Amino acid sequence: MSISLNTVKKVSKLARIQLPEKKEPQEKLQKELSSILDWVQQLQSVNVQDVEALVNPSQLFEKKTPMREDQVTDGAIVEDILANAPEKAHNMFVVPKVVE
Amino acid sequence: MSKELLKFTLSEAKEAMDSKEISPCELTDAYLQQAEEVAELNSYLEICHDLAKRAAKKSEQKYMDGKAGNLEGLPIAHKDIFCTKGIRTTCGSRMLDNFIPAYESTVSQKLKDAGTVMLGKLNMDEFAMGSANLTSYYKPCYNPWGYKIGEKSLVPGGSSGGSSSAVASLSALAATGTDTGGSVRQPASFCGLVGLKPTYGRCSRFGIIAFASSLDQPGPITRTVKDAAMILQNMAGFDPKESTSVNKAVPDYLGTIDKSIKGKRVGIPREYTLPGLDPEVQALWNKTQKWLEEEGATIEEISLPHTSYALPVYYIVAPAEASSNLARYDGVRYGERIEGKTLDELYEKTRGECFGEEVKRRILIGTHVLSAGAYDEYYVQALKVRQLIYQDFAESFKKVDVILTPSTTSPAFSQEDAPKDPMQMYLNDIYTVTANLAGLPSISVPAGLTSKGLPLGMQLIAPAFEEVSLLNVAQCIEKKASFPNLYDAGLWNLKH
Repeated sequence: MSISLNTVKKVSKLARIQLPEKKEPQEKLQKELSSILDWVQQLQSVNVQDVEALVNPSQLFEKKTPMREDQVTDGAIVEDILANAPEKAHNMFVVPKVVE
Repeated sequence: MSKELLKFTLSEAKEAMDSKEISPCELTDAYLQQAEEVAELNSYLEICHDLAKRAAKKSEQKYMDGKAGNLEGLPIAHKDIFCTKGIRTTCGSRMLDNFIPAYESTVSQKLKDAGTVMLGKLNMDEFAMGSANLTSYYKPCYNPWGYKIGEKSLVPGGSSGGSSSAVASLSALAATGTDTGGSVRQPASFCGLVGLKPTYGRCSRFGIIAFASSLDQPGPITRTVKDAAMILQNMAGFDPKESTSVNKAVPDYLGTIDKSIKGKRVGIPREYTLPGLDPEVQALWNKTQKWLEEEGATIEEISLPHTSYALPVYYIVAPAEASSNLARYDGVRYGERIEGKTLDELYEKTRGECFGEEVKRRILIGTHVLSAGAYDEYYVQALKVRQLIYQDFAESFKKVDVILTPSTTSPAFSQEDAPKDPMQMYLNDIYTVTANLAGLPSISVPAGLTSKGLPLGMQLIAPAFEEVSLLNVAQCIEKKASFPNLYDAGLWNLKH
């Protein structure tokens, strides 16, 4: 197993994804994630000395990603932005109390 | 009469409307009716009857005024990953069950501006993660070829499964899809259609719900190569709203499509002959090489030595980018929310309950490979191997103009035969992911039927921005293959 149950729990916490409460589905997930990670381990054997990371193909096709002027191109769309909010009030998104 | 209207391909329908043989309204009505009749395929998540009828009427006027656009009055549908202003866009997920975009994606806007009539939004794997349309929150959709051979649970491929299912069942004249690891080409191949993934940056990703931003690219799923060229012509181009879209003139894709392929050098990568490859796929691959030779092309064996690393690279890069892209679904600004006592609890419950299993698995893999301690070992290493995969192609394209491979290792499978193990499912993308990793344009074109009567596609890969060459060779394969006409094959009729 590439990753322990504790690591699965830690990663779930980082990703803000609640895990099932029961141990069985947790262990199933651990097994699935481990088998994927075991499989991708094969990349370790590739010699990548002096190879530049390819983050995005645009780095191959264009000298640099175009920059635009730092100008406001829209605005006054508060209603649009809030239209899909699960809960809103006073033109703001509402969340559970964060500061006591 | 109404069923007969379905026989026209996109380019034929345009000609028939130009010559007033048929009208946009009757064509749209025929498609809306067909979409209802094949509703059990579950290709559509939403059919926009009124909107489509109104758009068709407008198109009719445009023809009368002599102001018809390039694609005026042609009824198409969009994968539900394209944000459509005022029309629910779910991305196949419970998370976006109630999401109504306030803006339109650039690609759907461009196609609208060209005159297309949007019939509705199409089913897909949740957040485009899947190869069989089995991860959709809105239930799987089906492949009409399955009905023809008495295997109703045949999958249409994925993630653009609704797109391939709709075009194959003649309930849309063409459809958009998105291709991150093969999600346009594989479903096209499974359904006997043409699927085109343009060069990364050729079409804007603005307004397309992001899965893996360095791999995602929208493309058409159509009945013919010519239809694909027509749609691409109107999708492509620089978009100031999308910084990785490339500012490069869009060539004429149709003008040279019929050109002779004499002298073209076609590469056959030796690493793509996998042990245990379906003999029918291998035979068709050989046959396609013969066809191209008959037309004057030369066939050359090439080597892409890092091919076997493509899938592992993909399954690090794509989940890493997905984990970052999908962080936005927090139950606060849009989408579903599951209440919690604290903000963190709200996040965790919302994401735990509203994402499906496959999406959660990939987010967790992505989060892990990006976490401190794993970042260099997994993520950076994968990006370096990705560079080597690109270099393999760059070397090969010094010797050949296009590369020919099968699109998939097998024809479409039934739901019951779909791999239960997520890793086995991933192997489906083995022939298609390389083009995404290297950002190259690629097309799947229907080339034949198996003995059982299921479609098989052949894939071509070209150097960056060489879609012209890609379409030219694809058109040649299409002609030589004389693949059955979908209308004549009766794919519109589910009662076999």
